This record gives sequence, C-alpha cells and structure tokens, in this order.
Amino acid sequence: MKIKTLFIDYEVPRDEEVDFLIGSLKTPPQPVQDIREVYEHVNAGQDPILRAKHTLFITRNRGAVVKKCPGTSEYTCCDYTILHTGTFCSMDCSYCILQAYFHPPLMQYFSGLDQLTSHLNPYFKGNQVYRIGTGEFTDSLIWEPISLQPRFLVNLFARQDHCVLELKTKTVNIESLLELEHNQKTILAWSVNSPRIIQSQERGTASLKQRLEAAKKAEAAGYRLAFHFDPMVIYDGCITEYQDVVDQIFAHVDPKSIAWISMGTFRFMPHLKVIIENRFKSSDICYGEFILGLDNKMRYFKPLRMELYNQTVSYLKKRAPQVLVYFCMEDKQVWESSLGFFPSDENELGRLLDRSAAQHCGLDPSLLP
Amino acid sequence: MHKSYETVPVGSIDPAYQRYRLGQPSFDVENLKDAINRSGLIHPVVVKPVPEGKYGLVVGFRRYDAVKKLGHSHIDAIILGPDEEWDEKKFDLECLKFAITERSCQRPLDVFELLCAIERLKDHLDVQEIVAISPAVFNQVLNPSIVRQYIRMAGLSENLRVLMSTGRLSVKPALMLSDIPTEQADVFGAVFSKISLSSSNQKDVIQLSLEISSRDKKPVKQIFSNDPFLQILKDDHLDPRAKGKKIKEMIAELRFPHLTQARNTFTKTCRSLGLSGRIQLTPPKNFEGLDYSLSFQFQSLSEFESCLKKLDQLSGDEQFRRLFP
Repeated sequence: MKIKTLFIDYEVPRDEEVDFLIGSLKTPPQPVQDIREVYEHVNAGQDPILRAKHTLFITRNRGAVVKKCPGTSEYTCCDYTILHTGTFCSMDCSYCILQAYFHPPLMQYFSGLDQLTSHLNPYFKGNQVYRIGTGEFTDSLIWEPISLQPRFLVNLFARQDHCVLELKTKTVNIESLLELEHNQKTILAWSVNSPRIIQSQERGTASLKQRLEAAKKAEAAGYRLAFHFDPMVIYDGCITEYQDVVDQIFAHVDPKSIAWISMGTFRFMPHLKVIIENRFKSSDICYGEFILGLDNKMRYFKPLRMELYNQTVSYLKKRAPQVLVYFCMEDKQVWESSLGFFPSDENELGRLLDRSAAQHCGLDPSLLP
Repeated sequence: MHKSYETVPVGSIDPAYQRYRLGQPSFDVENLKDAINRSGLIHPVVVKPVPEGKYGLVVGFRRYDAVKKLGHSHIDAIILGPDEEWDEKKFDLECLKFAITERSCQRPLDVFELLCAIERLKDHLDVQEIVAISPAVFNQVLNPSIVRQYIRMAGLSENLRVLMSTGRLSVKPALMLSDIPTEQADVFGAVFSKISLSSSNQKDVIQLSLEISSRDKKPVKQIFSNDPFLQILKDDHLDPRAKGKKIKEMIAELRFPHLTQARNTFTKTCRSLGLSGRIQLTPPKNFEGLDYSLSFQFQSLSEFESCLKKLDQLSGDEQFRRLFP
C-alpha cells in the first residue's frame, strides 16, 4: 500500500495500534477536525478515485461495526455478517463497486481494537453460528502489512467457537498470520479469476499463481480456505480458462481444506459503467450482453450466466465433489440448472454454509439447527 | 462603436474573412439578385477594417454575394470602428454581438447559428456572461445549461452542424457525438443523413455502436461499411424511416445477439402456437425473472370457453413446453 497523504482524526488516541500503523506507513499524519478536509483533498485530484487510493484517513467507526449483509429479496443471499473495519481499497480493479459506492471514495482505517472486541462479544456468546467477514467494504488483507488489526482479529476469534472469521483478499499478505494460534476459526479466502482478467482488470493485485501459493502456505499453517470466483467475466474462451483456474486451485490445495467456493458473474450498478469507461479506457468489461436485473443491477443475460456456471461447476464437482459450492446472488433457475437444488427456505443457504463452517472450523455443533 | 456610411469597392471586401458568418453559406442568391436589380440594395452590408487595407463582412454575406454576382463595382456599406479605449479583442466581441443581434432580431437563430454564435462568444465570455447578454443579443433568454450544451458541441464538424440545422440530428445525440473523435462522429453523421430516427433512437444507435466498436475492437466505420448495413443504407426502395427502423434493430441485434435470438424464438413460437392474438403469453422481462404471464380477451361465454380449451391443449404441447427452460 503506497500512501502519499495520511490524515488522522484528531479524536483518535495515539495507542499501540495507531502508532504501529503510522510507523509502518512512514508518512507524517495530518490531524483533521473535520472529515470534509479529507474529502476536499481527495476531490481535488484529477481522478479522485485514484487519489483516494493513495490517501488514508485513520478514524473511528461512528456507524454500525457489525451488520448483516443487505442482500436482496430477488436473489439468494448467503446471510453473511459484515465486520466494518475500514473502507475502500488500495488496489484498483476496473469492476470494483466501491468506486461508485462511496461519495467521494475514501480509504478509511477504523482504529479501536477494543471497539471490535466489544461489538463482537455478543456474537461470540450468541446461540447460533455466525460467519463474519471484513471483506465487504474493503479488501481484508491490504491492511495486514501495516496494521495489527488482522492478527488481532485472528487471535480474538481463536478464543471462541461460535463464530468464524472470513478474511477475503486479492493479496498475498498473510505473513504475520502464519504463526498465530488461529484455532481454525479464521478462513482465509481468495477472490480468484482467470489470469487474463486479473492481468487486464485487477490493477495492483497479486497474480493467480501468487494467490494460490499464498493459499498453499495458509493451508500448511492449518488455516481453512475459501475461494470466490467473483466476478466471473464472460468472454471467448472463458469457460476453459475458469476450468483451468479450478485445476490450479486443486493443484495447490487439498479440497478438504476448503470450507466453500462461491461463484458470481459480473454485475454492476448502471452508473459504474461511466466510471469504468473513464478510468479504464482499454477495458471492455462493460460491453458484455448485460440486462437490467431484478435488483436494478446490470447482469449478464441469464442463459449466458447459466452456461458458464454449468460448465465450471460440473468441472469443479468432478474434481472435488465434497466441496460446498454456492452462488452469490442468483435465482432458483440458476441454482437448479447448475447445482441441481435450490435453497428455497429462508436462510437455507446460510445454514448450509454454517454447517460447513462448523465442520471445517470446529464450531460448537450444538448451535446448528 | 463608430459607424460610418460609405460606398466601398466590392473588391475591397475580403471574401475569405468569415469570422462573423453565423449561418451556412447559401449559394442560391438568384432571387436576391433580381430584387437588388429591381430596387437596389435597400440595406447596406456591415463591414469592419481588416489587415491589408481590406474590409471584412460583419453582416450581409448573401447581399455581398448577390452584388458580386451582379458584377457591381461598388457596394453600400456601414463601416464599423472601435471606440477609443477598445482593444482588438473588445472590438471583435462587439462586432460578434452586432452580427448575432442583427440576425436574431429578424428571426430566432436556428441550431447551426446558435452553435456558431456561442462557440465564438465563448472566446470572450463565460457561461454566466453569455446568459446575461442573451436577452439583448439573442432576443431570448438562454439558460446556463443550454449555453453549456452548445459550448460542449463546439467541436462538432460542419457536416454534423448542417444535419442539426436540417433537423436530422437532435441536440442530445449531438452532445454524445461531441464527446467522441470527429472521425467517428462523422460516421454517424453520414448514417443519420440517410435515415430517419427519433432523438432517443439516435442516442441508442450511437451508444450501442460505440459499445460494439469497443467490444469487437474495430472502428465504428467498419460496422456501417459492411453488409447488411451498407445494403440498407443504399436501398433506394426503403424510405428513411424504414431504413432507420432496420438499422436500429440490426445494431441492437449485433450488440445483444443472444437476447435478440431468444426474443425472436419466443415470439415465433408464440405466433405458431396462436399466442400472439387474443391469448398472449409474456416472458419475464429480458428473460431474467421467473414469472411468465398469460392473458386472454373474450367477448362472450363461448369465446371464454374456447380460450380455456386452447389453454388446455397447450399444456400438453411439446413446442409450448420448450418455451420454459
């Protein structure tokens, strides 16, 4: 992470966590009283989104720390719980929804490890399994080289058996996590894509090979793993290339270590298209055969999605029939056509994933329904 | 501004000086020539001194052309001169305002003229200043967003401006064309000059063509210079409206081949099953949702019963069953 300008909320106390962060970045922090000063700095850039990737604001989370993934009623959701530890990302993927999600985009680090503990404690003592992740509004592990937060969370989750932490990333930043006593309560998850898409659309991310090498190291350190084929992009030859990604995954890790694999084709809010066209002139990712979905996001014409899913899932299932595969935001027709079943009851997909988490991570089985 | 009335040699007016011409050059001055022959030049042209001892026209381009074609040696002219404290730039602005005012007081400016006027005024004035002078100079109140739109369109080629002034290209699609390279924009100009489409359909054709061009990594020109597009554009038996409809459908098909094919197959099957008349089967929008809908109309109990009978037959029909994936 290359931070050129570092701001710090004047209300944030200087403690070990913050000192570590500032010391790692080697950029003098500028205290600010009003977040608008940070917004002004970002907006003054010719490309505010790019500037935001080199600007970091250390602050406190003044909103919800833990919240349910919003999902939509039209498509099946995995009932994930979001731990809100920061916003935005230093990597630069053309399709990234975070470019359009924040106005203006702003990379924030929410300090306060004590705050995380206090908000997570009720979940650790709850009467059900929770899958909790930090990868919704940021990449979970861009922070690993500069912050104590990821290792703190791994240690925190290791001391309980009600919840599992999923750290989702496109980096290989796992060095400080390898030696931890994680107690298998953390799943290290990688977003994967075909090398062609990684190279053309995911600026500043690790290559597929690097990600899978990192996954292999994580597995050797006893971590449970997950992979997310998301966003899958449809182009000539994509089926073969995604099948090759499947091969490469299983060439690096044992299917038994994998808690789940998700798949989701590229979908986007319509106004993201203009951002992609302006910021990624050579990207043709928006020019697939998209229609407006029921959730008002653009998504590939359904038969095209189904074809890609069918071919990739059947290939994957031949290699690893026992691995739980699920779709992110898809409907009954897609599920039945590719996986032969549909989690139709409310929270059924969530329960399937909870069960897999319990089996792989040693969660308290009495919490499962 | 100083004004003096003189008769000047026609040869002293520099025909290449077009700074204040707002409309397109008009080559048909025959009627005007007759009128001048009969009654003389009623309104003198307006000129300003330009380098090399010549005059440049500010107002009266057609009158000058007519007098020149009549072979007259001299022409009545009002010669404009700057106030003492004005520099060349200020004088240019005042001449520009003079030319626009003269035209807009005769009739509202057309799109071509507005484009020329605002394009030149923006060298001197910002948007708010153009808005402020608009009642006096344009004989209408221009709002800031209109002025901004015209400034954005300032780079449009002559061909596209002509299309706009003849109503073959609307403002919104023209704005889209002003954001792309002139060479590409002119391809659309050439297509729109041969077909008739509404503003929103023009926008669709531009948008979808640009997306096809980016997707297939080939210039827009290549899309329209190949069959079947070329065939349609050259077809003398089709009127511009029919050509426009076909071109739009073909561009949509090229952009969304699978969706178009699915729609066509569905429509064809429904038609062959008799589901496109009083009984209608509608698929989910874009085939995305799960809900199909069926509606039927009847005027009597016997028609109602006949619809039910038809529906009953359908449920066992193989072709009908294949409609549902």
